[in-house]
Amino acid sequence: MNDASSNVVGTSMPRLEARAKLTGRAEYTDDLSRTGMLHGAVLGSPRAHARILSYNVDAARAVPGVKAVITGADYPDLPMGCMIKDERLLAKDKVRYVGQPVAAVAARDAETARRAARLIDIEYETLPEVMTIDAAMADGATLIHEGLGDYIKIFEAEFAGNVLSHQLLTEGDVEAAWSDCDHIVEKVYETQQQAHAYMEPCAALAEVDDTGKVTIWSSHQSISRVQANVAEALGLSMAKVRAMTPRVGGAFGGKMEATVQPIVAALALKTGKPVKVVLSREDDFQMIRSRHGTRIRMKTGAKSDGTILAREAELFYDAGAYADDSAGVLGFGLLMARGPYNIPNVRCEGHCVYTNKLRAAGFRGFGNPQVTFAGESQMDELADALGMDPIELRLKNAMRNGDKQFGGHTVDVCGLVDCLEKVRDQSDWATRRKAGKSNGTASGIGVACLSHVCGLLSTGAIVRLAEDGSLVVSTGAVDNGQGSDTALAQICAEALQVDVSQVNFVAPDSDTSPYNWGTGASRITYMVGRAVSDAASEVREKILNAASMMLEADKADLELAPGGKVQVKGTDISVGFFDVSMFSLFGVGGPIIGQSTFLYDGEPFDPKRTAMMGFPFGNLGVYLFGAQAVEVEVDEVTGKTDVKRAWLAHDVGKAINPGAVEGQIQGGFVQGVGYALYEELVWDGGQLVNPSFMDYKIPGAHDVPYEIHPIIVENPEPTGPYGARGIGEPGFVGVAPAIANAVRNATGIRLRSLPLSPEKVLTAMLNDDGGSARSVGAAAVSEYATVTALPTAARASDKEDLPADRSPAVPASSEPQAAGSNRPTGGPVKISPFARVFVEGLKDAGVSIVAALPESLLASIYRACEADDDIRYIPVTNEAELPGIAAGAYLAGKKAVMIMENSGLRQAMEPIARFAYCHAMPMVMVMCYRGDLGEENWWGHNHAQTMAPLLDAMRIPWRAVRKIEDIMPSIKKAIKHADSSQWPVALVMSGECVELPNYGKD
Amino acid sequence: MATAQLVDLTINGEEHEVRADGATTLLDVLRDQLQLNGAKRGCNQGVCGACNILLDGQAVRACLVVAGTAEGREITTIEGLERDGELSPVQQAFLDTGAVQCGFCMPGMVISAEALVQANATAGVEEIREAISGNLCRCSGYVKVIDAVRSVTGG
Amino acid sequence: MGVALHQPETVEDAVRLAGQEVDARFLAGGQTLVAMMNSELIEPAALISLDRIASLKGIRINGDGSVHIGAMTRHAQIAESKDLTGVHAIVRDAAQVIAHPAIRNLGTIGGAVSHGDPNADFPAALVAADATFQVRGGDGEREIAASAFFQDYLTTDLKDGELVTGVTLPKSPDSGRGHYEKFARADGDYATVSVAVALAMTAADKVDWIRIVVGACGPAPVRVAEAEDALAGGDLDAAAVAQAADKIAAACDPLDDVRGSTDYRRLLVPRLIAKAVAATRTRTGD
Repeated sequence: MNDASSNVVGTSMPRLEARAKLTGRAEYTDDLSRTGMLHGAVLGSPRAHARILSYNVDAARAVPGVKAVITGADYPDLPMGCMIKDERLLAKDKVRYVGQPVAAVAARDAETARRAARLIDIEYETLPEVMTIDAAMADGATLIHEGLGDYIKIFEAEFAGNVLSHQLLTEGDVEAAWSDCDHIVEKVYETQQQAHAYMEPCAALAEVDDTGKVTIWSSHQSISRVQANVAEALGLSMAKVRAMTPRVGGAFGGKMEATVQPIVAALALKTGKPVKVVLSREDDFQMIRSRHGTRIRMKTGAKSDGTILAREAELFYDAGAYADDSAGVLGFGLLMARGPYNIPNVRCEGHCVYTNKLRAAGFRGFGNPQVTFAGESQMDELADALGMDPIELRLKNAMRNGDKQFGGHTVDVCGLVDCLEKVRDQSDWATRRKAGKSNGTASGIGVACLSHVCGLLSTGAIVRLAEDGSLVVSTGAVDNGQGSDTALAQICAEALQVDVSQVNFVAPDSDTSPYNWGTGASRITYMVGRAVSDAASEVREKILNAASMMLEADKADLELAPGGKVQVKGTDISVGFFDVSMFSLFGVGGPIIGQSTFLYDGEPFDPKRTAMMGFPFGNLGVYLFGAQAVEVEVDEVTGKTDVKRAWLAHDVGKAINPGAVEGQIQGGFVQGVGYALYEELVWDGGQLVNPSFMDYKIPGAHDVPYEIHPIIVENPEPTGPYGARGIGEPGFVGVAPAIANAVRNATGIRLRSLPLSPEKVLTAMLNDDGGSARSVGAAAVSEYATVTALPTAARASDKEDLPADRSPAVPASSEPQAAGSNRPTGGPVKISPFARVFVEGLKDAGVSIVAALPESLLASIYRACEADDDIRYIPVTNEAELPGIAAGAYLAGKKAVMIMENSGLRQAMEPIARFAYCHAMPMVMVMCYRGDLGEENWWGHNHAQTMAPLLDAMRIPWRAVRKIEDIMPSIKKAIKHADSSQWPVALVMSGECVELPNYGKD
Repeated sequence: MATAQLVDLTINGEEHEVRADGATTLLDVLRDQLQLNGAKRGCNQGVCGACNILLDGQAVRACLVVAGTAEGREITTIEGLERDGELSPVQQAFLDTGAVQCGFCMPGMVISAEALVQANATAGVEEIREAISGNLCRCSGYVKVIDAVRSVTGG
Repeated sequence: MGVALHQPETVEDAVRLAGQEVDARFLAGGQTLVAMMNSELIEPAALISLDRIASLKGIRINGDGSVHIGAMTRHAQIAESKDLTGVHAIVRDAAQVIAHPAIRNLGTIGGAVSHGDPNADFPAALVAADATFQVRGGDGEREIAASAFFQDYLTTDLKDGELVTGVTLPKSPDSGRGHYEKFARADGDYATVSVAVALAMTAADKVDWIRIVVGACGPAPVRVAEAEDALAGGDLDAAAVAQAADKIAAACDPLDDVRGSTDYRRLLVPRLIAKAVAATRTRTGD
């Protein structure tokens, strides 16, 4: 502890790097440049699930300015992955999600690299896509990772089929406890996939020196993880990998494991030149990570007086295509599923499942927000059933000092009740809870409690006394923007009683920084703060030792004084740190260095109390507690929820920098509002539909209130630096259930599916449906959960509360639909009426084979063809496959229609037309252009202009149509034409082809 | 026939000659040719606002301006707000209020705030929100940004 | 390869250049065009910027009370214009809610309408305001009503080499009022559903005429003349408006996309029509 009172810890000093950020001088990865630098582009897989059959990189290599083209085939089989080693530098043998990096190019400029990447020709054999949890867990499901059994795993994983981790945590005896309960609530909750949407897209710059050592700067949360991932992916010794981070423009968990670093390092090694890759926003959305979508069945039982006796939870987390840290996310979710309450009988079981989507991984909350949405919604539902106020029910069961968390850890200081009472009082809960309607809106307030953790794994710090008596602090902590550089500098300054300007907090560098797992788990202030504080203490001791010699005084009579001095207690006699430094460097002892190293050392889980199967953690960290209340107004015309005010109380132990703590709470809250109300990644088959800020909306200044009240609660953490705990994540964790509970208070409706979109709210309000999870047949188009049956025995006690069938994706926004009814139909695959008409038309014309080079324009037609038993649908990836299919159909006496979207066009049309012409083979081709390309339909105009003379020369009849709905009649006519005439190919083009003659005879 | 042209741009009061064709945006020129890296490429689609600069005093997306059309106009970037090493009042307010977290959105955010303050020196909360409504920030929740601008306008 | 940039100073020069270049695009505000080029969705060989053509800029009130808005007038200018009152307030309302401030500082009405996106804000508003567009091309000048101009998704009546030079709004009668109601899932987004209403009341405070146009619910703005006629002479009581709204909703053909499902949009149309009509009814002066 300190000799004098605190002077810098507890002040809201501006961030050390704020000036640089505000003048544009702060450097992020894309601002860096090295001599002779090349630019890289990454090619993502167009398929959600496919075997890689061959690569042809000749055309790409031949582009002037290209210096290297690499694919997975160029590298040995080096498994990588943080918990399960299921991935490689670049896709090898298989691709498992659309956007998965399969190849990369380095060239003299970014545009050349991108163009060349598009010329890389990869042959795929499409495999069945597994897009939902249920599909992945079904009997006989296609395996996404056939080799899962052989993969190296760093924990005792229970796995099977597409389940990468099955875990179970139990305490007490849940089965027996139900019979003691007077009230039981059991519901199913669903949450969506959220994009991190940090403002700085993923980027990395790597260069190689003459010894083969790779230096890599990247936008990332952990230099240690970059170093490990690059070394592992490329089979290098870490002695040959140096990782640094310049300023990082946000991360939130999406940059904890490899982004593009291994690929960029590989390009640098291949070319011998520095290479920089900066992902486009669209690529970043599609290639990197998301938050897990989940389905959670939760059951809670209580006595009439509100004492909760039992909690059961069954979690299904959708991991996407690679395991990443999913097993940890699931495990943490299970651990948090009891909530911050003293519930003696608990059973939490979870499955984490591979699907053919972008992988899900850590994201602010790390599995907790989903389970807290379920748990805190259910607490309110239980309160309803008991006739209790929601805060009263929570107070009755809340953990307090000395209580044990699920898992057995004793929480010596638990500020939950403090937080909950402050939120209740400051929000004027009782008044706002009365709710009310005015002006077409209904207002209400809701609350949620939360617990979280900070800590985890290991770290270290080195503090050195510089020659002039100033201080140097070296840690591996990366500041993603949360303010850790500043907070850690404050801790060091406080510990040694110097001004912060005397502390040189150096940038993380794996060459010189001690190991730090990473910036995540809200752990930097607590873990690295402890390390810095301990290292500074060692420096303090050594300073006192030197001073005692210099002053010829007993060490016990000495103390530090503000301003970098050692003073004899009660006197004016002192020496400055400069003097001490001179003494140690040139007199006695040598340079003064203090260090600290530790692995989180709190109480481990207690296996006698909590049975754990498949759980990847032996220990975690210090528990955090908070409470959040949110006031909303729901628009009764549209169902849109407007958040008006929030009161967010978090027990941070000690706010090292209160302004920074407030900023973290406010920022976490706003990110939570997006999660609660409208953020959602949407899939159409395997393709992400909204990989852009145009289509994936995050909250802007008009979408959130100004009245966000962070309430800093300080019940000091005995093991924390100056009593501090973490705050990075908790601000996010309770927001969604607080809002759902507020909506319930305002409108009477209970929604159990995120996001709480206006559609879901309005539909529920109109159906007056107190128990429905969401509207039937047409909510937003999330595809991950088709709830037809739960894979394990469903234990729902009120069947009508299980959500109705959710229909999977519907067409991308660019697809126009036929006029007339668009009423969706029931059944597991949703076929739009337009697609149905199209398919009927095809069958009517005698077509039994449809081959397509698909993109997204006619996605619903492809689905309809697939779903139809009379049509054989063949998606191809290369137009070169089409003639073969046509030939096969012809020889078998069957009629085939070839469909090509934009990418087909000239490259496709010409060879196929020639092939058919040469072999006198009747074929009908449909070329489709998007309608959404600007003032003139450029594709149609351009390609029709260049293709028309060619088609004329080959005397191939073709027909132009303007609208998608005219394609079918034209196909019919074209088929009749192909049948009856000697012309081999009849071609149908859609889109606007103006001023070109129509040849079709009809 | 279509090659890059030489284009004269006036940026932060200084003349620069750059090469640009019809596909070169102002953001490309700032970052690739002039090393004025304050304006950031957050989406290149004009949605995030991290590339905002002032064009004749108005906040615009540098990623959506064809560089050649900016000839003869006054371009101000974040780098041009300081005077003799002194931060502008808006910049200083952002620093003092603790509005800066990761900082990636900040150049664009500050530019939008500057444009507002120049047009309306006493802007209130709603006007401030409107002015920054096109600057996405994933870190701050906007509260301290509004606090910062209010401290300058008194609104 | 490079993209040529032309910056003519007259409309004649712009039209001539368009006739000469093989693959040229008119560049208005660039807020959509440049974004598409940045994504490599389009790769024109040449851009013909309209920014230096002074005659295309500005709002003026004609002698007969009609209002002319030059094609290169920025959304921001339209959003602040005190000259757009009465029925014309719809156009001002719409301009205020397009995207975000920085986009509005450069985006132009000519560019926006030429893009022909039925999810955008101007199309429905201009149809409700009974606007006509002036179009110039190689074959000379012509005029076309907004209602005929917007034909399909990203498809307008413009032919090759033509550009919109201006928008004319007919004089707003003294009792005329206009209102643009936009519902979007987040600020700055395209509408999920939008409703533009223009009306004029008689001296007896009955509806003289009303135009109700729905945007973002089909390939082009939706108007049902029958439904509007049925309201003429009446009080705009809730039942009559609801009946008209249902007819208009039935004529809508909404997409299913991230901004809203087909079902939700259909559900919303009558509700927003009722809200928009009520809001228009109570608007004063402006």
